[in-house]
Amino acid sequence: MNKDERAFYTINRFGLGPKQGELASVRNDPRGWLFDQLNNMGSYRSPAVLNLDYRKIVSEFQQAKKNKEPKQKKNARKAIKKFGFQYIQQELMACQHTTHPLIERLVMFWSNHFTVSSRKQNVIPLIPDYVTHAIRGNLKGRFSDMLIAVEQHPAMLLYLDNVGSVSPNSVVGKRRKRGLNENLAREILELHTMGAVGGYQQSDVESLARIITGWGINKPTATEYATFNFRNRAHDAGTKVLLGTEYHNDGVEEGIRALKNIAQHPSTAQFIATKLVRYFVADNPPPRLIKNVAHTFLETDGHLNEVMIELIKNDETWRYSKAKFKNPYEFFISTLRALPVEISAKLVKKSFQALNFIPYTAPSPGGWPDDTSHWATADALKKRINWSYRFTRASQKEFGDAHQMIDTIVGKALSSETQKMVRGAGSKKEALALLFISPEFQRK
Amino acid sequence: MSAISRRDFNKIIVASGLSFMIPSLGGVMAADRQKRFLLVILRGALDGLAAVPPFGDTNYEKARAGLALPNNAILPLDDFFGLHHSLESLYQLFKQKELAVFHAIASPYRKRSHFEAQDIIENGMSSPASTSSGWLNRAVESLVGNAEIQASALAVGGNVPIVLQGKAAVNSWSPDVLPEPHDEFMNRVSYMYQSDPLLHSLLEQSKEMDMIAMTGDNQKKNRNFTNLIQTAGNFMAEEKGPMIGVVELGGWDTHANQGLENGILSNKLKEFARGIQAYKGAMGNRWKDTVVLAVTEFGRTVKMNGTRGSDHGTASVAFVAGGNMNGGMVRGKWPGLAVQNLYQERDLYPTSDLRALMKTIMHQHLNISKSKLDSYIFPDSQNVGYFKQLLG
Repeated sequence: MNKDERAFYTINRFGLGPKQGELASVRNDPRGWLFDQLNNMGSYRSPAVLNLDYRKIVSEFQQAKKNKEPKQKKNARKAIKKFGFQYIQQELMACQHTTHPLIERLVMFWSNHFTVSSRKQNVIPLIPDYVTHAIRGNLKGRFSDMLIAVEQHPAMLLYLDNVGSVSPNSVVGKRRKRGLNENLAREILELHTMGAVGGYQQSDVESLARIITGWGINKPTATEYATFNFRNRAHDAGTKVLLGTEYHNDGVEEGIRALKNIAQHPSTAQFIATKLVRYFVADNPPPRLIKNVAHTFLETDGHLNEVMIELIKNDETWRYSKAKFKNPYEFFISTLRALPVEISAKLVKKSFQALNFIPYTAPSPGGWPDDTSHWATADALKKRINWSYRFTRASQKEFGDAHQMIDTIVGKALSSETQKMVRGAGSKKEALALLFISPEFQRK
Repeated sequence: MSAISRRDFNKIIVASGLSFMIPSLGGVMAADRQKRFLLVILRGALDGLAAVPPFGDTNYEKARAGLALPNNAILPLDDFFGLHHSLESLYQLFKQKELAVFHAIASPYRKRSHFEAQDIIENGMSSPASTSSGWLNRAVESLVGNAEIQASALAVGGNVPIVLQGKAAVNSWSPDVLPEPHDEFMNRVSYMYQSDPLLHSLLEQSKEMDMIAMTGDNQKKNRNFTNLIQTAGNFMAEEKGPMIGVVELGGWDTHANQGLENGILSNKLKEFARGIQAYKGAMGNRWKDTVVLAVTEFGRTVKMNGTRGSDHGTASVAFVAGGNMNGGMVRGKWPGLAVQNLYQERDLYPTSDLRALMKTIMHQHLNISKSKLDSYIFPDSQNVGYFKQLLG
């Protein structure tokens, strides 16, 4: 690889695709560029307004429900949808402008790992707060910090139905004849920590479900945000055995202790390491690299920055060029960084429609898949081609010298075929469209 | 390191189901390669009692006051059940014994959330959030013995629904919202892709798919149901076309002003029937090798609600159509509409499990073994039996 190719590869694999001029700033020390970003993790602030206030739209919906007024309810639903869209717009702006794209990629990774979905309407208003506080707020800490914040966040408690989970032996359970909902407990073990083959049993799922009975929320109002609320009256007061450890009745602390223990389990280290290596290195993550990363995870008690530093330091990480394929969201963002148009609601709506993708709509708590075969389909590629052509055509920005612009985006990182086609294009807009649809731009 | 291994490359080519480069599938197939199965997901909870009115039930008119169809809007299937007259073309299929109707059928899910109920009819489990793969994807895995070569499956209309998500590689196609770039531009793209095996093959596939999708008089851009299902037919009718297809039709959630012989629901039923007819037409002489299953996530309340519609219920109907059916019957034990026979005193009581129907089709039509169906494709469904002689 020449210097430009190495920089281009780094910017795509660990960043969000090159802004104009970014290549030049990364070229001399790609790894250093990444370490710098991690060093700034504590002070990083995203360049967009992300923590949108949801109280008004939620209370309007609650009002409409109370009044049983169908038209009011319809409008309130629309407002919630619009709110969700506004948040996504802000996220796109953040990704377009950020000088720390590695950090934004980590936000994406962890938001997907700890997926909540807008398929459940009552979750939508809470998503901005969830990503801001539970995810972004814990990137600089340990895995267990993020895990606890996530599992105590109202968005997750609603999404995976823990709010209704009640110990049958509790005060509430006996009175209302309600019972356990194992959904959150199962997904914590299967999807968030140890993984399906991590070695836990069904009895562990049940124990964890019992441990986190009572983990609910204070509903948001016109003046109050939603918050975590522990209801002792719904909590299981018995003794539970989870992964060989006994938990006696200790209120909310039981669950916190359980999560900390699970976070330190070797299977958790293995599972998280595998996902991280798959995300940043290759669809078929190399076992030796996973082992190293998992080792660091355990040694540092799950310190997320340390784990990333190990991943980047490791030479094996750098042997897999072209081994990952951008998903539609990453693709869209990479074009917005290269051609920094204004991100209007119209552009976002039309682009999602054309590219067949909307963030926060993953069909299951497992989140979006992370392998080429899922995203690289004939239909998806066709959609990108049509969209790239249309997007550059419709863009209002004046390009000036397209060749110069392309130089500052990709420098010498293009293959000879791509170079030939891009530079020989009939117009500036077409040159850019061809760049966006080039093989180099599809991969990360 | 090369961009893509030969093994992955082959997987992608084969998964398309369309490229002339598919290697012969050899003798390891469970099912005959010529078989076709189309799943139609009716999203929103179709009112089975309106689509297939049980006019012979003495409680019908009273229980469904406001929603009971007049006799002249019912096409009689036998002396007990009829079809809503908007399902005219299904009626024709029924008379030709190419349609079987299953009534009082539901998934094992008993709450009434659309999204959970849809998850469960797609994931094939007994609870909604249990898995990220769909039963049909697991069935695709089972269709061939060799794990490397996968039978093809195609979702038409947008994203791949949960029912088709999973380990087996599947394809999707949807109409283009945006116009295509001009030829010269596409030539440049082809040139750029010539040393990229993955993108080159995907581009070729998309060209082939577009050609097939354009067959007949359907509009390539049109996203309506008839166009989508007909396009599914175009793909599946090809000799090397996908064995499995999935399309969806929403808009069944008739909480208000449902209508009777005309109106919102009637129009939806017309749309559905039109689509099935178009699909049969597109399949041509492959219709005899084809089975279509249409399911919905749950039914609706027996009683009309306060806005001249119906609310979420439990049991509904399922339709099975094909060119080699043991059809012309309404199947399933009828629980009755007297209040004491209803589920929670409000819904039609389910007497059959949808999984039984899905398993039966997979077994009788696609030759998938019962042991795989009972344990892997529909986990923990050993106690869910099979219907007798659905086909032939």
